[in-house]
Amino acid sequence: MKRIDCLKVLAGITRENDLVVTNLGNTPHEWQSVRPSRANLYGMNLGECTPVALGLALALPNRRVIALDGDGNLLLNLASLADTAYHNPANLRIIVFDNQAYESPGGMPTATAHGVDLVQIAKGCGIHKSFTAATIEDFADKIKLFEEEGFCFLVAKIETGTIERPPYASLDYKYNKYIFTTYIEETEKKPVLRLRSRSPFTEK
Amino acid sequence: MNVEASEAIVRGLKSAGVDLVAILPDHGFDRVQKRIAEDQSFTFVPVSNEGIGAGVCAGAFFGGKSPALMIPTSGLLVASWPLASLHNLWNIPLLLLIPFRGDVGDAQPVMRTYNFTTEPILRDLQIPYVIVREVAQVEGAIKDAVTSSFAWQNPICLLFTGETLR
Repeated sequence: MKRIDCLKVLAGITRENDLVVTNLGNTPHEWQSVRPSRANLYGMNLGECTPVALGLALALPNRRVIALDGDGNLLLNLASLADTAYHNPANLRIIVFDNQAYESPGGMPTATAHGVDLVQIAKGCGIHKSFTAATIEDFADKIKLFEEEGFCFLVAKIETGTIERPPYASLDYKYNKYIFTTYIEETEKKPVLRLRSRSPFTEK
Repeated sequence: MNVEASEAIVRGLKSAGVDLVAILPDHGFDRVQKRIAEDQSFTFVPVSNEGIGAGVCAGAFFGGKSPALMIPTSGLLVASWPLASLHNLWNIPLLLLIPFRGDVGDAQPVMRTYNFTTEPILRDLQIPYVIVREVAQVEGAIKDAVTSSFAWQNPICLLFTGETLR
């Protein structure tokens, strides 16, 4: 199963106002190619994808938040699964694309290549709606659970490899910060950046 | 931390508009953390390590919250990865509240290390900080830190010591 095929399926059920947080590496490029949107927050570094998605889900409980994490990224901060289970945000969905490798830096195996089962860990944390998908048909079936209420966790067992990338990226992640925050300001009708027009040092 | 300082922190957070607090339990902050946990005006997010807390605060910022991360002195070392690779790289506001254990006057031997690590790490991470020694400084320091944090799109840290910790 290829990640890009999973992402195409996911894009088919993603609502226009769903907020999607991706990890670093190949996922953001692939996701951008199938669902370009101001509601995407790309490029969370190792161990940060699930925590950032958790914070976003807690801040906006009425918006669906989808985290696109990876096995290596999650393993660096595995306790974030425990914390996410503890807070149990009903609006959060996590997909871990598990290619059993640190693919971007050269392909060394992750712990999941040696039998570590992220779904069993998630269940042990108390995330009852935790599933594995190993085929694209299975993925398309399991992803339907995202429409049900409640936090769920899906591990997609994928092969390594990615789509061809253009030589220049179409966006810088800091630029993405401003795209995303202004989108939230517009759609939630509340300030996010809170840049001040005057300093208290000069206000009378 | 004494009752007066704890109450001053809660008042300061409220008047500065802080509405989400991620914490890892700390002996110095024990009283104020319990106060915040019981106060419905804050989204209270206990976490298992400070790096997760920093990530949660970043996500909360993206969702329109004004977050604070309240962690033990040692936790700055744990949080340094997301503070560098997320907050510094992307310029994300954050109020960071840390007891300055290891400050001169601290009689706990295991805290000595933090005298040598805390301020240099904050400087290396380009996080401006204020050392708060008196209870009377607390509210104003929090308000100023939140104001500059959003204006500069950068974390700001308050280190609590002296009268505030006793």
